[in-house]
Amino acid sequence: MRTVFLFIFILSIGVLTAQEQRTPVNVVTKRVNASFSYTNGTEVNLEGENAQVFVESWDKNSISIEIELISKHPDKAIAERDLNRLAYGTKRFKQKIFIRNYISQEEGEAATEAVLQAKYYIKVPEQCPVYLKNYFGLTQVKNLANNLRIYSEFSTIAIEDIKGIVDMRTRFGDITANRLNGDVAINARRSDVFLYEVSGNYDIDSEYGKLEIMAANELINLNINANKTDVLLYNIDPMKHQYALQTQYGQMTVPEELQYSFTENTQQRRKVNFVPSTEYYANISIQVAFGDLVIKKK
Amino acid sequence: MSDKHLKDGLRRLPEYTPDGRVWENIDSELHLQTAIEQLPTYEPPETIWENISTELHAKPRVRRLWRRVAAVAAMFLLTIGTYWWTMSNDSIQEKIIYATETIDSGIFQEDWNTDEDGFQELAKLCSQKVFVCKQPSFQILKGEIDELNDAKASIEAAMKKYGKQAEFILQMKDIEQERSKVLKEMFAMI
Repeated sequence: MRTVFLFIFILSIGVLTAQEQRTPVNVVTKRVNASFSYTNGTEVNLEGENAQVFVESWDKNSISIEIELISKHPDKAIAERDLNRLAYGTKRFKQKIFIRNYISQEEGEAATEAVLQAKYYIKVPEQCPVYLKNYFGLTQVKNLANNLRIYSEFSTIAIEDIKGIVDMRTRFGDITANRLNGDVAINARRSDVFLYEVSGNYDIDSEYGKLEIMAANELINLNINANKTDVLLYNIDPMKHQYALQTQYGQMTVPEELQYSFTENTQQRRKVNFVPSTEYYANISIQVAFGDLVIKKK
Repeated sequence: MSDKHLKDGLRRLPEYTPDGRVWENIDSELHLQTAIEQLPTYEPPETIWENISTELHAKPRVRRLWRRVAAVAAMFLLTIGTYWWTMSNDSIQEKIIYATETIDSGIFQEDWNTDEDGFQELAKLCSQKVFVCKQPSFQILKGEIDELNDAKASIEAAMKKYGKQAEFILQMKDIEQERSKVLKEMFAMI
C-alpha cells in the first residue's frame, strides 16, 4: 500500500512539473523612437501584424511613435537572428505618416524559432486622423476627436473617449468602446461588441456575435442589422424614442411601455413600431435575424 | 436802318440784377487763379525725364510675366522651405535592449489537431447520406465550418511566423470550441 502511495506521489510531482515547466528565455528588444511634426491634415496610418497598438492624444503639436520589436528565445543568438526578421517601416509621404511591421524572410532561410511581437505607443494631437489596420494582436485608442478608422482581424479593439467619425470593421476580434460620440459605423463578424455610454449616430452590422449597447442621453440615431447575433440595448427612456424593431426566429423583450406597440407577434416574426406623441430624442431601428433582442429601460 | 432797329430793341430789353452768390463764386475763382500764378516753378532733373522715357518704352507684357515668375518662385521656395522645416523636425532613433525572463513552456502544446478524425468522419458520412448533406440548413453549417477552418489556418500560419504565444492559443481555443459546436449540430442532422 505504501508503495502505491509513493508511486502516485512521484507521478503527481512529475505531472505537475511537466505542466509548470518554466523556461528561461532571452528577450531582445529593438526600441525605435520616431517623432514627426504635425500640421492640420496630417494622418497616422498604421499597418500592424501581431502588434499591440496603443494610441492616445496629447497636447503637443507633434506625433510621437515608440515601437518595440521583441524577440524571445532561450538561445540569445536565435533571438537576435529572428529579431532581424521582424522588420518595420516609418515614413512620411506628404500629409501621411505610414508605419508598419512585417516578417522579412528570404526564401530558403531557416524557419523562425523565436516568439516575435511588435508594440506601438503612439501619441498624436487630438485632431489627428488615425487609420489602424491590425492582423492579430490588440488595438487600444483613447481621446481622439476627428476621424478614427480601425480595420482588424483576430485582434481585440478597445477604445474610449472618442468623438467625430469612427469606422470600425472587425472579424474574429471583439470591440469594447466607452464614451463614443459622433458618426459611428461598425461592421463586426464573429466578434462581440460592447458599447458603453454612446451618443450620436450609429450604424451597426453584426454577424455571429453578441452586441451590448448602453445608451447615453445624447443618442440620436441607432440603426442595427444583426444576423445570428443577440442584441441588448439598455439605459433607455422607453417613451422618449421612436422605435422600429424586428426579430425573426428570435425572442423580443421590450419595456412594458412598448408592450402594446407590437404590430406583429408570431413565433417567426415580432415587430414593434412606436412613435411617441411628444418630442422624441432618438430613432432606434433594430433588425435581428436568428437572435434575441432585449431592450431595458433606465 | 436795321442797326438802329436792333439797338433800339436791345435798349428796350428788361434789366436784371444777378444773385449775390454768382459774384462770390467768380471772386473765389479769380483768387484761385491768382494764387496758382504766384506759385514758384521748378525744373525737374534730367534723370526724371530719362526714367519716364524708359517707362514709356518698356514692354508691359514682359513685366507682367516676370511678376508671375517671381510669385511662382516665391511659392515654390515657401513650399520647399515648409517641407524642409517639417522634415527637419522628423526624427527616428533605434536601440537594442537585452533582458531575460521565464515562460511557462509546458502548457504551450500543439494539441488542437488531435480530434480532426471527427471532421473526417463527417465527410465520410456525407458521402453516404448525400441528400441530408445537400439540405440548405446543412450547407449553412458547412459554410460556417469552412470559415472556421480558414480562421484556424490563419492562426496556425501566424503561429508559424510569430511563434507560439498565449494570445494565439486563446484564439485557437475559441475557434475550436465553435468548430466543435457546429460539428455536433451537423452530426445531429445526419
